[in-house]
Amino acid sequence: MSEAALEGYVRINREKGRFMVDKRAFYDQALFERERAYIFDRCWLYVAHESEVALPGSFLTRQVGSYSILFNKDRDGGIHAYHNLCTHRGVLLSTEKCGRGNTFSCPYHGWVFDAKGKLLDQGARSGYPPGFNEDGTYNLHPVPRLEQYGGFYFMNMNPRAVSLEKYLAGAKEWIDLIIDQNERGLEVTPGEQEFRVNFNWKSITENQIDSYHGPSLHSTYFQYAAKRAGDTPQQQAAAYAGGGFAFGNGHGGFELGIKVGKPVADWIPAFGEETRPLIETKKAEILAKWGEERGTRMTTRTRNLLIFPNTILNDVLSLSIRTSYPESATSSRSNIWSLVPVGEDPLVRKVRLQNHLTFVGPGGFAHPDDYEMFDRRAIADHQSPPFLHDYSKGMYPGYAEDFMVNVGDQSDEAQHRAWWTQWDRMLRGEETMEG
Amino acid sequence: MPELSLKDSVENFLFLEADLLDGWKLTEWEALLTDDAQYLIPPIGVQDGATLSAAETMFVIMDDRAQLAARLERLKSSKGFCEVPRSNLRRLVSNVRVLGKEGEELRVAANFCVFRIRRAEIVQYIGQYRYQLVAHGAAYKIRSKRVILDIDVLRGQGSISIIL
Ligand code: FES
Ligand SMILES: [Fe+2]
Repeated sequence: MSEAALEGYVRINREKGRFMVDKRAFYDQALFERERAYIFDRCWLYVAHESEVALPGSFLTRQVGSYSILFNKDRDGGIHAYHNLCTHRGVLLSTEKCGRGNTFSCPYHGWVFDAKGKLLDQGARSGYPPGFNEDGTYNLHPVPRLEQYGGFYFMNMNPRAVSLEKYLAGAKEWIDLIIDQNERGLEVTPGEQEFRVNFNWKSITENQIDSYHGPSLHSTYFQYAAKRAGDTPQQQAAAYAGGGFAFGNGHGGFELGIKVGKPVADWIPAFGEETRPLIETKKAEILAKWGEERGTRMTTRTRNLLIFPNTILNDVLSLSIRTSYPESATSSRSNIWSLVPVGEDPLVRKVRLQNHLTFVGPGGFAHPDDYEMFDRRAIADHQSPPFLHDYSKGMYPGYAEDFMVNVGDQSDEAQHRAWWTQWDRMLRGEETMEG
Repeated sequence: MPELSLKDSVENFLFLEADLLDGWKLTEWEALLTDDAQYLIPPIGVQDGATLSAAETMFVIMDDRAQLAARLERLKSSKGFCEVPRSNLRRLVSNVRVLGKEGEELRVAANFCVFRIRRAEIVQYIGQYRYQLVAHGAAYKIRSKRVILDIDVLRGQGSISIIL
């Protein structure tokens, strides 16, 4: 892709207070490769949560971006991420989604590797000189960087990338708000949701920090939510107020006061009387430990956080983490995992999972409507003249603020502008996230 | 006329149900449910979808009667945008078997393929139903419907926007 062709996806006019994105960003064929090399191979990408390899000798395989990754814990508790690839002739090493085992063997010629990636055996008695693998060339290939924050493991294909901690910048505050809700830590529940769709990954991703569309597109969900919470529509509308935030490096999100029930510590009638004392005790504990202000944010306010480019943490009616990756310029793959507090009471666990499913995922009351909109956009992309998508809400003529670190009304588009600014800078190579 | 065998009467009931769902007759379908009915779709890509508990595992759908009522209301409204306009649906139900009988409750399995036709695209949901049916007059009511999908990834819009 020529440098000149990269100009003009994002069009900013501060004087008029306009922030616009060319619709081609959602389907240009050449962007697929460019995004892979300049964004996905340079950013920290979510791999897995530590709880998914809790026991020594456990492993999982997962596609992260365009790579198949083998993520595991060795006998000594070391956690690794390797390319899921036999170093002999490049056959996919493990075809299991997850499992236990201290060695990985490739059925083709019988090469065997241990959990620390070391080649143990080539399945042949002859033909290799002693010291054939002295320099470790034939050990499993680890991903260049693997780091974690609060139990969330991320990988980076760029050896020179900034540390994960530095990369996360202001987003850490919101991750902490989630982690600190649960003294005993979080774990991923069984039951991963995965789906493939025929539209660009950015449609899914930017939607996750879009609070603006809620009252319009999801009115059927909000009616049901008000009923579950015992709220009148007026009470519900009043509680919608919140803020939209950009945290630096393209990360952003929004926070709301709307009452949808948080199984951790915000009880609603739909959770049933039997869970009420459990949830209210937890709420009191959190408030006592973290103080009125932070405690209230943790227990009763909801937030959607997007870690650039594509990791989403939903701390709303449940906790979940999701990613969306391009499979081509016009198709994507998305995964959702549900996070739960370790040691949660089974009654609360049940209402948590049910609450999650009122809104989230392929069978939720909201997701299918969002995806219908992405589908309609994909159709319109091919049936419209040159066109710019608008992201100007909350931006006014003569706008002088820094897009990357910004605050706005919850339904404004400040967080979108930060995300697109980072996307544009990285795509053009102006920002590399090294250092 | 000879009396219907148990299998025939169950099959007739499931074919009627299929017809109602394909025809978007959601009110009539709802009338087939008991007051404590549940509608479950276990996660996709697992081997034990028939036995998994929705209280411990993240399902795709775990509706109790109240949530199912809300789902139907949503689908009937003009604001259930995922099905505006409504997709064409056609389902094939076969291999109907009565697995067991406890008191007045029958456990039934049936294979299905549901086609959702929308905007020149056909999405197929393939799998097996597991029902708990209770006798009701000459027919039955549905106490539980578990939809075990064999497809290992959701394609198309990545949603299940219809009643399977
Ligand atoms: S390709 Fe794996 S052992 Fe040869
Ligand atoms: Fe939405």
